[in-house]
Amino acid sequence: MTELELDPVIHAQARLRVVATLATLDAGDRMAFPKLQKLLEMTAGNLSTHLRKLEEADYVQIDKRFEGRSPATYLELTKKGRRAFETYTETLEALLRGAQ
Amino acid sequence: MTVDEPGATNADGAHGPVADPRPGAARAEASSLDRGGGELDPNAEDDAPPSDPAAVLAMIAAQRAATRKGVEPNGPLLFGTWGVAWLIGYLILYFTYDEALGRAPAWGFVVFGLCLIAALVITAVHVARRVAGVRGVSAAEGAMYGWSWMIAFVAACLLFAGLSRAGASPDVMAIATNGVSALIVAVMYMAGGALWRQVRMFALGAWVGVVGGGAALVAQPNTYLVMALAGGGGFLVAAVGDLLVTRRRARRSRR
Repeated sequence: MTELELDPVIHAQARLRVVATLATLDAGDRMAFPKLQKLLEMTAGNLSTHLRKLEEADYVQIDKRFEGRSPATYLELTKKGRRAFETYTETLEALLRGAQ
Repeated sequence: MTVDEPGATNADGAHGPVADPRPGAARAEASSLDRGGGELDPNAEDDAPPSDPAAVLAMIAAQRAATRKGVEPNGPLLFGTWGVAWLIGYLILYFTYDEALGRAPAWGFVVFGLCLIAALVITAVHVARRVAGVRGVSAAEGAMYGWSWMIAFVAACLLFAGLSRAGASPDVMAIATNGVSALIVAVMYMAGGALWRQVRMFALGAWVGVVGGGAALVAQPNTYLVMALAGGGGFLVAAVGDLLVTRRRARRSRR
């Protein structure tokens, strides 16, 4: 049996939860940083670090903009990120089937 | 990276619980991406997920369920709110019906209106809270859907004013206001069900359409009784049904 590779970018608990959250939104939707932070119950610094890593892998698009006068950051899963998450879950399901 | 056999330890031996606030991470809270700061948390580590694929899939499912709960409006709450508003409001119109006037007195309509306004405020506040912080395609869809409600009811009010001006009797006015309002609710619920693929929302819309049409055929003040019991009751049945289905699903995914 060939060993199934799991994407190392997603295969970290915090980043997996970030990606799972953003993948729950419809394609074309983005989430504000405070909302994402609240849903994940992570500290801002911790979340920022993981988002930076996901951005480096081109899995998450970080969109900084101004809403009126206050800055707002929106996070969106890229097509590549969405595909990576799907591949990741499919691999897990394949591993699960293999384990049974 | 590969996943070891179930039960084996990861290379770094990390097996933290799902929601793992890492020690020391709080210090970096003041500077975040959100506030435009570039400072990151140097203590943010790469904790590997549990090594059992089933546990990881369960963790993903739990996170997705929590996300849906945080961004999607609560069906049972909204159905229940409107069910109660219709039940109380229409029952008041039914019980205060004045044979001599051929309709309920003005204060009956005021209470009825207050019931609907209360339900509208609860709906608007709840939906706004849930969808806040999410932008993009679905926000645009939701905005168009919200405007559809608004425009349909404004147009209906103009229509009612026109009918009244043309000399419609209280009986005709009661049939028109009830029927048109129920028709708008029915069509909007069916459209919403189609838009978000919510079968129960669609079914509720279809039911309200049947009830609204049927209520036009019965003599006054029975129209209001039909609207209260079948219409309001329909919303309450949908609320309970939605609650049961959601609970059962949550229980199944926890297993």
